[in-house]
Amino acid sequence: MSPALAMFLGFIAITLWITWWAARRNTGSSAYFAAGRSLAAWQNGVAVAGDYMSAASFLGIAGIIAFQGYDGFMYSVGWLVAYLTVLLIVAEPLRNAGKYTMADVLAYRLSPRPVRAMGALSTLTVSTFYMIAQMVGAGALVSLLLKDTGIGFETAVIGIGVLMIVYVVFGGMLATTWVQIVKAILLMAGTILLSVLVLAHFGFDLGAFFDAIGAVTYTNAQGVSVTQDFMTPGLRYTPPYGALDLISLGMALIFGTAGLPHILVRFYTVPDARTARKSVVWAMLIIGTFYILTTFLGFGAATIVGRDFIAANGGTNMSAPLLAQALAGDLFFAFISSIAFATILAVVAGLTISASTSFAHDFWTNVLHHGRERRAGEEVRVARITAFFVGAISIGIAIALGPNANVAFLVALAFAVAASANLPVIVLSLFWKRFTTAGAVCGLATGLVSSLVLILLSPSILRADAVFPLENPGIVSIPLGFLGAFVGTWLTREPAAERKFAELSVRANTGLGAERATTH
Amino acid sequence: MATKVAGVVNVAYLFALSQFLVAWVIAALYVRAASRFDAMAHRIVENFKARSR
Repeated sequence: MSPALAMFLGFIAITLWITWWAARRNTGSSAYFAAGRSLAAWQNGVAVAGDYMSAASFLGIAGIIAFQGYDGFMYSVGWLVAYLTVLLIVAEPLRNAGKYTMADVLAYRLSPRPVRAMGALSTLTVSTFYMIAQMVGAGALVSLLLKDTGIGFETAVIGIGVLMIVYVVFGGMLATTWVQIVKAILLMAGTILLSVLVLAHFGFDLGAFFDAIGAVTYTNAQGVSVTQDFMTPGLRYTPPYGALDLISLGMALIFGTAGLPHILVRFYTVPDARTARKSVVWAMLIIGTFYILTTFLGFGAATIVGRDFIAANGGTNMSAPLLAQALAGDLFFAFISSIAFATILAVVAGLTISASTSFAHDFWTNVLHHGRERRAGEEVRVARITAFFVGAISIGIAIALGPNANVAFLVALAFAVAASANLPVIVLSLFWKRFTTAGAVCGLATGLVSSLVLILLSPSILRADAVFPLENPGIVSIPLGFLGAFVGTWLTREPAAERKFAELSVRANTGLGAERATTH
Repeated sequence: MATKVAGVVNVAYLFALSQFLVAWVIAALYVRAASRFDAMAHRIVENFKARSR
């Protein structure tokens, strides 16, 4: 058995044990959907970081820096800054006002059925797109990392899908959280170790490291060997639209992170708003450190491994694992590969539970059955069944798309929908007294549709014939989402919602009447 | 932006790095302010409970 396979199996064994342990403690809805709201700040903070740092970050950003230098590092910057929106605007009022989902906050003073139906639709859209991107990437990656063992793309996708279904169906939020925590710790350990090894390679001389970045030699598209200063801006984001695309990406990250359903639901797992705030601070420490260290992963791969070797051995996504192999041999390669695997598994589990919670709580219980469970435990049962279907459908779509599908745009799409549909209505329902149900529904619909249409017209889909020149639609779709919410509100009046605004403000700011922890 | 500061390290890279620092500093300032808000919220709730008794 190869060391990579042994480490994969080791991680799977640990996570299954966590699931078994969590399954015995899951009694009741709040235990299943929100881990009993009894997590400590550090636990939730590490889990938020775990949910956020996807394989796209670990492997993707290292690859972009290895191939395009400084511009790749610019891609790292927005991810931490985005958490200021979460910290300053969303986390605490959301924790105080809601119960299990994003739509809880909207339904607090608006007409529950329309806003929950639209909220569930938006949540399912974001989660499914993000998940398909992860699954296709994961399948291609695992079959590449494990190519000696003969595990193919389909086996890898099915394996990941089945594991994520098991975590979510049996272990609920508690198991998902601990899988995130284990993964985040592994990912940080791997990243720090890799960074130290890169520095050691240059004799712990930062000057020597940066000198090497100043002269990276590779073969360009014309087949000519060139030496390039990789600190120079402009290798990726080129005129005429490069700079605008980067700004648009930044906007999607800064507005979108605080609208990602799988990040938002994490704040229901802590006892109160103060703990939610502290957990964002924990997450920011970890996430910031991680993205700064992408300097070493990416530029390390560019200088030590080299662009040509990476391109010939699996392409950009293999930059970090190949760097590990070059620095410390096959065993370390296996370790970094299994971390990438753990990363994917944890992120898809987080996405699945947020999608199934939204379907069961928002759509099934509140839209279809007017907020009443017909039998005790129905909501949890529906969520478990949904998780099974969400998993099965994602496996099917990922296999149908195949390992060579270009799915990076699905991540851009998920962030664009979160930023243009979810965030405007969350913020307006919390801070604008005049906001109405029509405004919320209109804002969600405009944000969702404009993101979808702009991506369909972008170079990601239409290549050279693109009608819309940017790969990230945020710069247009976010203002449109807000505009939709404003127009819907101006055209209607809702005195009942305005009367409840004071109540919402008191609850959001003081925690009076907020959902309490159930287990200790 | 491509102006060199020390060796190959340029203004662009330092600018990108500075955003991490700025984010952490803003977070720290907010957390300090928020503990004041916590105290205010606590007082409001206590007053309310005392009056409704």
